[in-house]
Order: sequence, then C-alpha cells, then structure tokens
Amino acid sequence: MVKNSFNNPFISCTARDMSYSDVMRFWCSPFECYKINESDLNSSVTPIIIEGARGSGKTMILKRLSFFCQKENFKSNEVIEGIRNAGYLGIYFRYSADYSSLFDSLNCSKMYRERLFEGYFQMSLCLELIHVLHELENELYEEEKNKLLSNISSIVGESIRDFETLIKWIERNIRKQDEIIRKSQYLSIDENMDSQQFMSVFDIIDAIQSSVSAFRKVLFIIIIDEFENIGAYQRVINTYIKQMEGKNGYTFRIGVRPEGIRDYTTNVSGEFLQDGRDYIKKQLIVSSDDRTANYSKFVKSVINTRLNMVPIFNQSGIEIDTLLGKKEDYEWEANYHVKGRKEHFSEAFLDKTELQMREISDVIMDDNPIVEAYFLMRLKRGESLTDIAKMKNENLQNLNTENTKKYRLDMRDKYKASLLFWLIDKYKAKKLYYSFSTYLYLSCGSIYDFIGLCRTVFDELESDYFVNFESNPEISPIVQTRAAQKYAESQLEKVRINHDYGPQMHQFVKNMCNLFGYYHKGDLCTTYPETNQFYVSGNFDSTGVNKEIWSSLLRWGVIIKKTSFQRATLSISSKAQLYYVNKSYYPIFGISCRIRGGFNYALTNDVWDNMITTIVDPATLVKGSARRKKETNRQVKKRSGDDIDKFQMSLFDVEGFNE
Amino acid sequence: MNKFSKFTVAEELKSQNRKLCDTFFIYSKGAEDRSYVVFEKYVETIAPERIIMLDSRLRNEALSSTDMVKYDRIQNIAMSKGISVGKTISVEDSNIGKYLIGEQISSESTVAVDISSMNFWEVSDILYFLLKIMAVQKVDIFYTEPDLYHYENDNIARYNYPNPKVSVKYQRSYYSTKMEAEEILVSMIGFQKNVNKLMKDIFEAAQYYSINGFPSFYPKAKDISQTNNADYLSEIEPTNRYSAEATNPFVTYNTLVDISKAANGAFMNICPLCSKPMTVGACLYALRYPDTTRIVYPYEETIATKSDGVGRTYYYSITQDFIS
Repeated sequence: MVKNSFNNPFISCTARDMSYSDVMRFWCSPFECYKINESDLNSSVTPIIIEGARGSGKTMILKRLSFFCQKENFKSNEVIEGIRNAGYLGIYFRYSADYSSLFDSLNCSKMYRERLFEGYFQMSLCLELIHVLHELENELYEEEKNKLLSNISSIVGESIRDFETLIKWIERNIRKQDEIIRKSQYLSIDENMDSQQFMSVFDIIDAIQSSVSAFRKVLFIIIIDEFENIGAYQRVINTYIKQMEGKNGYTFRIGVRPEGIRDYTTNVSGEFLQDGRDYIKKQLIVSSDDRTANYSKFVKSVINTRLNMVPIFNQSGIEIDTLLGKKEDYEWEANYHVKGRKEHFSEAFLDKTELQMREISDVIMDDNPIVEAYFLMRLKRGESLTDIAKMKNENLQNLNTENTKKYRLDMRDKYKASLLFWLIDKYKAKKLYYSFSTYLYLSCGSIYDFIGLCRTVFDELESDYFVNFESNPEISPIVQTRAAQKYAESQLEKVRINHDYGPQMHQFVKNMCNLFGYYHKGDLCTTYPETNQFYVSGNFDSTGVNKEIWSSLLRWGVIIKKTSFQRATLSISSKAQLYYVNKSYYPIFGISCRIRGGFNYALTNDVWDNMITTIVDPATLVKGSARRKKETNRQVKKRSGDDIDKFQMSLFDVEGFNE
Repeated sequence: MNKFSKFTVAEELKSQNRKLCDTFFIYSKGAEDRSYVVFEKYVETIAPERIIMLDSRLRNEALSSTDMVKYDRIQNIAMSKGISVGKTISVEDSNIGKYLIGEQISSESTVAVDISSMNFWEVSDILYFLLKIMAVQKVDIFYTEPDLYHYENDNIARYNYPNPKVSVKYQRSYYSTKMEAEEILVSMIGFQKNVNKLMKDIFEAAQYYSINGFPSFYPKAKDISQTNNADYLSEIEPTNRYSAEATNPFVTYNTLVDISKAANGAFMNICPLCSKPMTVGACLYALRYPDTTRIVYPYEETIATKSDGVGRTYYYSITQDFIS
C-alpha cells in the first residue's frame, strides 16, 4: 500500500464540522469519563450548563441531543413515536464566533440592539423547530396538523397553510433583519417602527404540545452551543432561564467554555442566575491525573472508531495503543540518546587517578545508562563505591534486602524519568515524545487535541511505513516526536495570534515553559524532578487587565487549573490551587508530561508582570525561587525548631539550589 | 449565473484614447510608491466631473515621518498636472461609504475608484455603498500592483505580517444569516502565515475550500501563499483547492460560482486574505448572492501593507446588471 492512497482518518476532528449523521457515526460515549449522568441531560427540567474546554466534546454531546441525531435511532415513519418514548426533543443552535460584534456598533440604542439579538435568537430557533415539524409532517395526524397550523397562524397573525409557507415567512423576517444589519452604518434605524416581526419559540412549543398529543409530555430541549460568543447578550438568554420557573414544556442545555459566562445578570430587576438554583452545571473535566482509566478508554474508543474506517487498519484490527506503543521506554530512549558514550562519567572522573576511574567504571558501568546515572548520583552524594557495588550485586542476585527494595523503589518510576532528563541534558539531546500514554498527557483531557496529534502523526508517516506494516505496525518514536513538535508549534502559534490577549498569553507560555525546561536540566532535574506545575502567590489575577489576561489563559485552555486543591509545594504545607501549562506545548521545551508533584513554582506578582511582557531569564527566576524558599524554611525553622526535611527522599537536596 | 470579463490593463485605455467621463473619481491617500499612479497617469482617461480624496486618519497615525512625505506628495503631483487633488474627506474608520453620503452620488452616477491604497474593509465597504446603497450605474475600479512586497529574513518565504489578533469578524455590509443546511468556508489565501488555519479552528463549516492567487503578480507570490498556508492546505481535501488569477476579479467570481456548484449550493462564507482584485471578485459574488453568502475577515484593525515600486495598473468595469 502506498502512502498516497491512504486517507488520514483524522482530517475532520471537530464536531462542529460534522454533519449530524457523522456525529452518530463517530459517537463514543464520554459520560463515564466525565462522570455525567446521561439521563440528566435528556430529562432534567432544570436547565443545564455544560462547561468544558475546547476539544472536550461539548458540541458532540449537544449535537447528539438534537433532533437530527435523535432521528437516526428510529425507523422512518416511527420517529414521532420514538421521540415520544424518549421523552425529549432537542433543537440545536450554535453561536458562531464573535456573533455579538454584529450588534455592538449598530447606530441605535442598547435596547434596540438587544431586541435585534432576541429577534435572531427566537427566529433561528423557530426555523429549526419548524424544519423538524416539516420533517415529521407525514407522521402527523391531519387533524392535529391543522390544529397546530391554526394555532401558529394566531401567533404569527397571518394565515399559514403549511410548514413550507411558515419556513418562508420566518426566512423573510430573518432576511429583513439581515438587511437592517447591512445597511445600518449608512441609514439610520427607525426604532419606533416594528421593522421585523418575530415569534417566540416558546409559543410555538406551547402550540405543538397543545395540538399534537404525542408531544404533550415531550420535553423540548433548547440547545445553545458556544454561549461565550454572545458576550454581553448572554443577559438576554439568562433572562429566559430565570423566567422558566413553572414552565415544564421546555428547558435549556447550554455549552460554554470555562470562564465563558461573563454575565450572570438578567433583565429582571436585581435578579441574577444562581448555580444550583436556576441551573445545574456539569463540567467536562478529566481528573488531575490525565491517565485515568476512563479517559484512556474513551480516547481509545474514539480513535479506534476512526482507525477502523481505513481498510488496512480495519483488516488488521489494530488499535491506537499498538500503533503508538503503550508507554515510553526510558531505557531504550536513554540508549538512543547516549549511543554507548560515557561522557556522563566525566564529572565523576574529575580529579581522579586512573586507578580510581577504573574502579568507578568497574562498579558503575552498565548497559543501561539510566542505571549508570543513578549510581553516579549516589556517588556524588557521598555514598561509597563499596556500598554501591553491594547494592548492585544484591539487586543482580534478586535478593530481598533493604538495598534492593530501595533500588527498585527508586528505579521503578520515581527517578527513572529524572535521570533520563539528566542524560538528555548531558548529551544536548531532545526529549522524545511518543506512545499512547504520552499522547494522552499531551492532549490534556482534550479529545480534539488527541485527534489533532494523531492527524499530524499520520501526516508524517513515511512511505515505507505501510510496506512494512504487517511485520512492524508500531509508528517510530522519531516520527511521533516530530508530529508532537509540529503540533506543539501550531498550537503555540494559535495562542500568539489569538485576539484575546494573544501576545501576552504567548509570552507567558514561553517564559513559563522555558522556566520548567530549565528545571529539567543539570542537577536541577534531580533536585526538582519533573517540575511542571505552579501556583499563584500574589493577587495579580484578581484585578484589572491582569485579571482579564489570566481569565483568557484559562478560557482558551492555555493554562489548566487542577481539579482539587493540593499542597502548594514541598516546603509549604498549606493547600493551594495548582495550575499547569497546556501540555501540548511541552515538546517544544523538553518538559516531562507526567505529574510528579513535590516542588511547584510560586508565581508572584512581579514575576507575572515580567512573564507577560518580556523574555525572562529562567536562571534568574530559579535563583529568586530558591531565595524565597530559603527564607520560608528559615521562618518555619524559627517557628517550629523542627527539621522540615524529614519527608524528603535521600536523593534530593531539600535545601534546594545552592547559589 | 453571470460570467463576465470587463478587465484590462489601464494602459490600453490610455493608448486607445478612451475617456471614461465618470461622474466621480474617488481615491485614497497612501504612503506606498503605487498610491498615486492612477491619479498621475490616468486621471485624464477617467475625466471625472468631481474628484474626492479620502484622507484616512487611521493610516496617518501609523506613518513614520518618511512615509508622511510620501503620503502628502499628492499635492505636488496635482500641482504639476494643474488640477486639484479633489475635495478632501477625512475618514475616521474603514466604513468609508458613510462619509460619502452627502456627496450627491446617485443612481445616475458613474464612479471611478482607485483601490490601490485601500485595505480590505475599505474596498468591500465602498463597493457595497456604491453598488447597493447608492445603486450607481457603473463602478470603474483601478488597481496598481506593487513591484515587490516587504519580506523579512530571507528571499524565499516569509512575508511577516505585523502581529495581528485574529478573530472572526463579519463584514457587516455582507452579513447574512445562514439558513441552508450546510455551510462552507472559502479561504482566499494570501501571505499571512497560519491565519487560515486558525480561522478553520474557530469557524464551523461542513467543508473547507481554498483559492490561491495564481497566476500571481509574480511567480514567487503564489509560492509564498502556498508555503505560509501549508498547514491549512494539508487539512483540506485536494479537490477543494482552487486557484484564480490574482489580478482578475472576474475569474475569482467565476471560481466562486464553480465552488458553489461543487458544494451543492451550501451557504458560503468567504474569507478574502488575498489580493485586492480577488477581494473585489469576492465582494461582487457576495453582492450578487447576498442570501447565501457572507464575508468574514480575521482582523479588526487596519493593517497597512508595505510595498515598493510600481507594477501594472488594471482596470475593471462593473455595471449594475452584474450584480442583479
């Protein structure tokens, strides 16, 4: 099979781009992953706000609730019955990007602008609903249909013979509004004139429920996607939600990004929306550990569904974790970078005689550079060669001693990654990013990003991959790394040109990631292993422009807030809100994807100010942090008189970096 | 659907000694070498009754002192020709049509417009204003291409735009609510790196299309567009990639007609990050099919192009029946 006959199954990766039938085709349930009760979405009369980051699957969930997806489950001519049994009917509407700017600079009063917005809202939903009725027309009883049309005629104030006429009526009125928008900058708007008629979708729903017996107890779900795009006009929808009390015929499902709701007020004097009272919030969040079994399972099912659409993968039944490899192989990677060299012994050999160097080599040299690095560290810490040799031998003989227990604990996962980074730095190499597990981390809980990574990997496949596919289906780590880096660069570029404080966000990401990258080098990478989290130690995020930039970082998923409060950092026992930068950028900076915990960086006001405006030298930041830490330790010691280091593992220098 | 071609190199008009005798000639001040070529070389061919010069305060603020000299040189040019620069109208923003409302442009008028120094918002706005609001009989569009655009770094690739903030902005004059089942995005690609990819991420469409300006002003231009949009192009179907002559709006119009047919009449969003003649073609298409088309643009602010030298001047004639 040659490359040019292979269709990348990940080209279309956003639910926004998908038709309703594609949504059903690609559907994989995320409810277990996000711990959401599916039946709540279908049946709760209380409005639900679904909050999720870009790529979390909001649109997929919302579209699936809509009628045009629902009907795929039913036989034709039995759709009404199917809807009746399901108990709900979804009407989907999406606000495209920056919709609110259409109205913002119209030459008219704020009230008229809201009226125009409301007109579009109502008519667009009515149009969608009438299309549904038009689709179901053949299944309606003639008598009920006539009664419905008669009721709608009363609402509209004109005789409406059939649904097609009604569709044209609505379209005509929408066009009138479009014309107002188009001409508004040249011609003044006569606000007194009722320039467009619009009917209320709620009245139409009432008419349907009172006319068509099958719909009498059906819950009409008004689905609004990308709520963040309507800015100040959220107030209009908030008012509808607030005024829903006592009305059981319909409800709302609203999809929004984190920080996407800017306004909880309503047009009802003094009233605002309250979580838990006026609506329920469901968050599409994967737990802090991005490798939960549920998220992993969900991702696999989504990706494998797409893979199966390509004949070669379908025939072999291969799954994505086989193609990418299940997880990284640190030993293999260490050997890949080191290539048999022994320059990492240079520090240990410094000022040593030839005999001493030979002794060190005899004890420590190994086929596994990570093992070598481990024992070199122990040697540097002052452990004797004799003790090191003893530990090695006991381990080789598989004895069950304290030494071997410690060795296995140290080497299983704890220090292996840090030592790999130490070797990578020694040889000025670049960290490889590959395997299903790593890609899960890089995607940060966003299925969209995982699909994007897969798309990039498949674009990078070399022509001989398919020639050897049957004997060796695993995609080379080098290709995967290249794809991860390419994807990282494109994601970071998007941040830079984002209209919402793009340059500041971009600068912040580069500075923060460069800082974390610095912690992954030299002795720092073992002293502060895999440092990649931070907490706010200041108040910059609560006022003015800084607050807006901070919100923008969260809203666009450039930084991620961890789901629960955790210990701020090693030397501080208080809990704090931790954050990390979106891991999809990590391949540019050579940062570990894993969540190691331990030391977390304290982001202070002055560091923030610099990070959003200029290039910051990470060495300066690290020194500043160490100074603050020493001061904190000094304060704590002064207060308690206790040794604060008792929880530390032996390999780490708890006192931190020595200037 | 119309297929139309009233397009020529302006020099041909002159060599044929044609006089357009337009009611109005509207041009915009600019600081590029090409900004006043039409005034200098073709104002006698246009032979207008009235001349209107648009002085953009926005562009003024961005100019260096050297550029200001270039910007103001129109006075010398006009003096050397023994004619007035025209009535000066200061425009505060890119909605230039509204500044022309009091100028007695009517449906009986014919208007010549030099778009060489206008940006996207101004070009699209003035076309809408003249053809739709004022319903003029004819618009004669003049456009002078540059010799070269400014590049940074090296010969090959990068035309680096100043750091823009990208978001989807509807050109209000061309706004329409989508009522068709399907929607497509047609990106008319230009030099801006990565912008179309971001637009694709922000925008919803069932299908994505591209139009590259080819043949272009010079061969390298189409390569720059291709290179700087490689990521975007790799994400769309090869059969959805089109090209249209960069200097001919009518070919662009025809290409959009072809795309509409290929997309089975889906609602079309057009993003014209392309040459100005291609932008004219996009606007003409949107004016002809307002209910199924809208124009979107990723920048809010005015971005000044920087170019050197003077290339050819083109002339396009648009009559009312073209868009009705």
